[in-house]
Amino acid sequence: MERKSSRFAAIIFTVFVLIGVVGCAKPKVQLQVSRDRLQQGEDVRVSWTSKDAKAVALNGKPVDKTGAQVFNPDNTTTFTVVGTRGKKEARDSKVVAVTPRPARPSISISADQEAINRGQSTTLRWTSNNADRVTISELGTVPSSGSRVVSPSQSITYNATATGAGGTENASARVTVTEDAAPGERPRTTSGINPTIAAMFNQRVQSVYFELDKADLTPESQDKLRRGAQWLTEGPNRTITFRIEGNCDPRGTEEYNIGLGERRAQVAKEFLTTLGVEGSRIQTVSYGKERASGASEGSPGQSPSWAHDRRDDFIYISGGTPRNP
Amino acid sequence: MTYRTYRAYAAKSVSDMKTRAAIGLAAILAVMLPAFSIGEARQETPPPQEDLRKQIGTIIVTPGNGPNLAISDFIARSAGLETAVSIFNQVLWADLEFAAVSGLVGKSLYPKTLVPDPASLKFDEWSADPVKADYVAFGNLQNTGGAISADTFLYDVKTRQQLIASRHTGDTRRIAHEFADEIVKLLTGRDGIATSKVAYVAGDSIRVMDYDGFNQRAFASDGPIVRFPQFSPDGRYLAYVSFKTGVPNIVVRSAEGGLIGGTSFTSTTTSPTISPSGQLAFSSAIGGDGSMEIYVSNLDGSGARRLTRTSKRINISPRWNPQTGREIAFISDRAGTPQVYVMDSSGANQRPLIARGGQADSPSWSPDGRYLAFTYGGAGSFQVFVADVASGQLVQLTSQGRNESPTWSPDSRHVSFQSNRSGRWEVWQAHIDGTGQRQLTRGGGRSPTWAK
Repeated sequence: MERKSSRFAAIIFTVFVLIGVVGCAKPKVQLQVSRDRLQQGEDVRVSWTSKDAKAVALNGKPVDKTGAQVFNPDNTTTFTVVGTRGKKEARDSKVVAVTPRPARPSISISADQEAINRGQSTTLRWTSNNADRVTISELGTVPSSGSRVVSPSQSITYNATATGAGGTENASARVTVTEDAAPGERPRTTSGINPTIAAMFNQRVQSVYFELDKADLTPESQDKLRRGAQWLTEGPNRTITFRIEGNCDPRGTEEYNIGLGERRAQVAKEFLTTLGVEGSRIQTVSYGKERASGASEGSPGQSPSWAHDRRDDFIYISGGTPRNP
Repeated sequence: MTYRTYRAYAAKSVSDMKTRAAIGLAAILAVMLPAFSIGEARQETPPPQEDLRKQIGTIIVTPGNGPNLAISDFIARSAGLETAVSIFNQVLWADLEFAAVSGLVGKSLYPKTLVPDPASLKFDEWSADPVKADYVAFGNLQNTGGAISADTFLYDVKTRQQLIASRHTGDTRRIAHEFADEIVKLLTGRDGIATSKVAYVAGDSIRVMDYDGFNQRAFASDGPIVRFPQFSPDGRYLAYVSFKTGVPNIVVRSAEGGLIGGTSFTSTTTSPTISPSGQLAFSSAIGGDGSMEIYVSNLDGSGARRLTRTSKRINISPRWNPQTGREIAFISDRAGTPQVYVMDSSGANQRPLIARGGQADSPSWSPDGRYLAFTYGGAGSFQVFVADVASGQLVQLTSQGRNESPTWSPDSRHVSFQSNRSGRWEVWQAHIDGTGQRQLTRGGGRSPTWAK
């Protein structure tokens, strides 16, 4: 009996010792981060494990005893996991250094007049911040801020793109081109631009396109010019004067391309004069590759493209008699 | 501003110096330039080019192949000049490094003793191992009545002779440039380039900067597009193209910005160049026969006279020989693709200078009239080449990215050009042998023109 009670006491004692050891064990925690430096906007995965902890908190917030969370810190952050058991506590920390993200570029673009009559012009104005490169559809690469006079022949949306270390941002401005001017709204210029005639001119005399390094008219361009010449030599249209603007794609050199653009304007002028359009009615000018915006060959109908860049534009200046609509 | 208090160098010491320099120069090995190669079907086999390479290789002094110059850091003699002294030392070193008229002895080898004035100069310390300098430049900066002055000295430490003792007052960068030029003049007998300037196109305006890319400042905005600036050979005038009227025309201004004149034609008129005697040449479609032709006129654009007569061809990019004023180089596609031509400034004797197929543009004479740099290539890939005018031999100056529109330093030893190797067009600079390439603009730049 005595022997039995002493064995019982030994068991009780052992149990108490075990409870004591386990119950008073110091908790352990361990914290890991997937990366210790990142750029603002990037994610970091924080994972932790604990042992012998009754409660675990990550940066003060209760969390599972073992787990992981993904963070997207804006600033350098210290992640601390704290495991507690009674009054005993263990902690582990890791610092994640966050470098600020390069400032995101911003851009805005507007047109002084959002609606113009065909043949009129308006001024596009744009400003950008934090951009290394600004491009505008139709205009190509442009200064980071600036303005450009445009005279679109049809309604068009100018898409501006600012690209910088912080990403890309877009903005656009739409210019609506109307065929008819309301009475009294006709632009009063010395050459007396008549929007009705200008609009008809743009329909009848259309841009022609060229092959690489060539200033020869393709059969298709000749057909276009024949149709144009027929209209230009009809009745009152014989008083119309206009300008041919020659353009090149961006692959050649700048100075020579001014010459090539001029040749392109001149061949169209020569062809039109053989069809009875007096040379005195035609001005020519070259923009070289100033307006080039293509980055690949593409096709004439597709802008931006090199094929579209290599062209003559025809711009109405004056003359003709307005017809009743 | 330069005020020379004293300068003494015996005729003998100068001739010694020159002999030593000449021996150094003669020893220079020609720098192997990238071989001339453009994949064009019509290209001929290039002639041997050893001669031109060798010639060019002697122009730029590489370390160990010329006299050795040590530049002891200048000392501030007044309080508050720490920044100025640091800028002065940086500018002086960079100027003489780019000038490449001597080897520069690395500062880590210099004696610890500071040398603010001649009394502190211990000749043996500088002439002996490890410095082994032939010349030592040194001096001090001080505040003189609100302005910064530099007392500047150059000594030949082997013969123990004073070569330069002068004072420069004014803007810190400027006075460092002036002293650098003074040293170059003394070592070579020729004017340095440290106070020269470069005009260039940035966006839609023309800007001017110091030759080392600093002090970028506005020159002119003239309508929606301005292009192709060209200084007159004496740097007094700048001509360029403006699209202000809707038709490109020439504008001529004084280097200070005042309007001198220009053309006002109703046909495309472009690519101005100014002769040493102040005449203008340009390319224009005013002839009315479907071609771009070269014209000469008075500086204000009046009295235009036609020089080329082709039919339905492009004659463009004229450049007047700045040395003789008697020839005009230009680009013509009269025989097919655009090539470099030369004619007398009367229009007589039109002949191809370099005709090898491919496409050439934007020629530029060196101010001494010996070399012609130009853009050459095809299929969207262009590089700057240098041709020896007398022999027609070529060397390629650039190879990274696209490189175009070269212009020469006033001493005919360096070239500036536009390159897109950084991702967009910027103005760059290199020695005539293609070494020492450095970027001058960071915010975009094209069509540089370099003048005194």
